[in-house]
Amino acid sequence: MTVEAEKAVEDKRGGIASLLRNWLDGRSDAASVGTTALMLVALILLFYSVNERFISMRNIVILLNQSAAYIILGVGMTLVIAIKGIDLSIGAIVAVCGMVLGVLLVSNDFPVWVAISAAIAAGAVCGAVNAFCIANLRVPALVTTLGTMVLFRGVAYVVLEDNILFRYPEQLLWFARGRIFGFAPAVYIAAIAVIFGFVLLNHTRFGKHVIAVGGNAEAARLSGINIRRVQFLVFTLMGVASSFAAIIWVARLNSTQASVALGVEFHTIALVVLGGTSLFGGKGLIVGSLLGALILSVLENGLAITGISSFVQQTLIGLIFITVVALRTLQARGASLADEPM
Amino acid sequence: MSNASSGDFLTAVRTRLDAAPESALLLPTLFLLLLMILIFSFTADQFLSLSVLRNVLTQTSIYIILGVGLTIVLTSGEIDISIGSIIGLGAMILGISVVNLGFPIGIGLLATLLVGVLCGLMNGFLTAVVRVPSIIVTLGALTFFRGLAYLLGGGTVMIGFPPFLVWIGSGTFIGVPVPVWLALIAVIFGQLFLKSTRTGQHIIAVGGNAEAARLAGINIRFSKILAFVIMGALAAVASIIMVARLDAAQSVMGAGIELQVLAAVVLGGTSLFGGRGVILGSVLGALILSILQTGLLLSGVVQFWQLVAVGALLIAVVALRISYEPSEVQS
Amino acid sequence: MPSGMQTGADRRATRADAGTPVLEARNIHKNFGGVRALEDVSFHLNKGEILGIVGDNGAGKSTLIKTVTGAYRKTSGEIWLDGKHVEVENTRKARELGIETVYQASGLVEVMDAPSNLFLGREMTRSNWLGNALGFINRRKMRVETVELLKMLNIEVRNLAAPVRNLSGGQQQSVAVGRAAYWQGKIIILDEPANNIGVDQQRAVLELVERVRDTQGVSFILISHNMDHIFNLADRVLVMRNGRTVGNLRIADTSRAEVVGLITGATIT
Ligand SMILES: Nc1ncnc2c1ncn2[C@@H]1O[C@H](COP(=O)(O)OP(=O)(O)OP(=O)(O)O)[C@@H](O)[C@H]1O
Ligand SMILES: [Mg+2]
Repeated sequence: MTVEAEKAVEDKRGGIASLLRNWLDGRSDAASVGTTALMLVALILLFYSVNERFISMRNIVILLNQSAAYIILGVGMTLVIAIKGIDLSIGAIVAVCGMVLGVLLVSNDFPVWVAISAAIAAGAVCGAVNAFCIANLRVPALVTTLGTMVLFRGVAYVVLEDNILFRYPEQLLWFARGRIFGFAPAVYIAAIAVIFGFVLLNHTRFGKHVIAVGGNAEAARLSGINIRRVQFLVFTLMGVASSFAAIIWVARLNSTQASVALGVEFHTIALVVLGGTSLFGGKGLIVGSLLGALILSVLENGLAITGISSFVQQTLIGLIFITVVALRTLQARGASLADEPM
Repeated sequence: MSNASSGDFLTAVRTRLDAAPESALLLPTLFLLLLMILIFSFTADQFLSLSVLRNVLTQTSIYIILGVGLTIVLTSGEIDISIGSIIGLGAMILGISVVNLGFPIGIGLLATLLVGVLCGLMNGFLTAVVRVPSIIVTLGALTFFRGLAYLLGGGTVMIGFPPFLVWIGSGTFIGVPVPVWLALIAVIFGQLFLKSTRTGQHIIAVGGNAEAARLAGINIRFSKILAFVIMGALAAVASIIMVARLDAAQSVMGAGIELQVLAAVVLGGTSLFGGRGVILGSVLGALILSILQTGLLLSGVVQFWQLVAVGALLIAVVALRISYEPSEVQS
Repeated sequence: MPSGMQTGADRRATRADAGTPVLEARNIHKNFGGVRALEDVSFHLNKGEILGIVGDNGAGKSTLIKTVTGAYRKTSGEIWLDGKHVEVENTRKARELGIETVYQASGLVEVMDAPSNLFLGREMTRSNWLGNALGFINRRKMRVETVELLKMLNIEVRNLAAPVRNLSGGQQQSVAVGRAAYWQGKIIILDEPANNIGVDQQRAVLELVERVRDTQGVSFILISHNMDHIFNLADRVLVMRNGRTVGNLRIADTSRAEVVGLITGATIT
């Protein structure tokens, strides 16, 4: 008789259907992460069927080592996108940190720990420059980081010019070439970054603030959250994450040049979106980003094993990215699309 | 007390600025331009020479043509950072059709324009219909189009274009370089389109308040897609001029140009949040940018510092604009 | 026969009982995903009538008029105009059919000036071939028309070239209502036109509504939370609760207490 009773009946009938719809809608985080995991498994099986060596201990070690830098950048970018920001300057920050390492370790003979500390400090400073422009000067994140992307890269070029610095000390190379229980130290650093990011986002007050700022900045402000502080910390953290990525990068390549990590911002944003983090803010899936980073590495590694040229790789990755983002957006907005005729 | 009254004064100034017609917006940009010319005429000897001026103008034409397109896209409330890659792809289409396959130049030019339009169509469709934020769409397109350019041309340099194309790049018409004519046409088109046609008016409305525009019966999808298509076509024109100037086509062409163009447009007073596009401002911004680059070069500054200068200038200008114009601050 | 001798109540009663309704909505349903915003809502609007719609926040008033005017796609239901079944696919179609709507908030593009807003989506073009072929707009004519309209409706806007963002809330609302009046729709729908503005300006907007009805013979739908406005202006009132209609009463036959009771659900129908 009553409205409520009718609704209850209706709900029961549509129970399974609505469950399914919810799962498809990607509204629940677990479903999002599940979809990403499925994609990863499918890709691995695909490459395995092409080349059996794809699933071998040797290749897995290489793959994880390759993905370490992506994972660390992905954790930082997840926080940035969760507050509805974006950071296009991370590739340039990696270049600046690489430059610091090169100048201190190759051009000079500083101890490795000094160089590493200096690189991390450089990353933090770069991040803080972004953070200052965004949080204090209120320049949109997109414009700020588009500007600093060129600015930081310019700094690296001014110092390094077109030189390539190589022959790094063994202690630095250890990060990518050493082995702890069979895996490179870089992999453990990435694991720590994931745990850190996960706990920070899901189990601390700061994480709640991050979600609140990204979800509805005005409501967050009214409930007493210091938006600028949240923005400042997140973008500075992104800078620090970039410096760790730089250390691993340099250690793996045993070289630095000003053009290192060109375009890595695209790959990082791509992997975060692949992982299911919403581009509209207010949601961050660290585990999803981890899976996204693995997908990206599997793609790169797998395509390389099948012998496809790097040109095709770039095109394919761009195409896959666009398709996945489009599908995810369609899912999330399916309902409202139907509601508003043009 | 004095604090309050100065606050009132500031508010009054802001309200005035807000209500000011666009000509007032152009003044600070014009001032910056003159200042820059003045400085460089002291620091660089040959700065005011005719040949330098001509070079600056030709370089600026490319910025202006792209700037007109980006102004329209920003006015519609979106952004396009894939333009550099559209240029690279366009250059490859032109090179392959004319140099490798030996088609007549007319067909090559048409094919290049068509590809530019298709690129814009793709960006516009994904942004307006699928509704992925345009920054993400065009970030993906940036990689995708560039990948296609490399796929088509590899790392090779294609040379041997017919004289007509060379004329487009370095010829003159009534004593004025052809690229400058093309830029002029683009500016007149952009100004008339945005300010005086219904469609242009709809683009402004969509960028200003998409929901109000929709409720007033304006087709948001069409307006946004059209903005991206115009951008794509103009990027193709820019790629034609670039190839023509160098008399060579290469996959890397146009890499990184989106930043310069965005800087020029924002310098000119176009809002980053849509609803206000100042075509003439973008022209001034483009002039400022290429004068800055040429001036630094002629003053003997290491080339790499240009990157630093452009990046810093972009952030500084936007920061200034945001602190003085209420309309730039979003909730 | 319009006659000055009739009492207000008589006139209202006549309007509320007129023949074929100009607008009729039958069994409208609207779901947003799993949320049911409207369930089986029907109403009609007679010629020259002012129909009030009241209901608590979230009752579905705005959704109802957005669904009727094509701003939302309806889940099911029918719209009839002057006794004919019509499909209102989008807001453009609604305007072509003579329904002008002032939606709750976001009706104006704040960065554009008053003339541009008045003609939003229906800009005047030059009469020469340029205007016809390329859609060149005629700014001067739009400006002149705006000045005339504002004068006629007693709306004061000093700087016509300023973006409407610089106008006061009441002035903005007046421009929005004026836009609906300008296009001479047969039906004008107003969603909380007196919201967020001062008492003086509220009165100005409501007087404007009466003036337009009396001079142009337009039918109105007026959504409001203000019982005074409804009881001073409306001929009939539709009461909504939880996406359903719970009352459809002639103002002459009801009382504020009854309407408020229906809104809150205190009375059982
Ligand atoms: N676009 C939408 N998507 C999902 N739900 C919506 C949408 N628009 C409205 N609703 C829901 O429909 C219901 C009715 O909302 P509506 O705006 O029609 O209320 P209203 O009666 O106009 O209230 P108010 O007096 O506050 O304006 C609410 O529960 C609202 O949350
Ligand atoms: Mg409402």
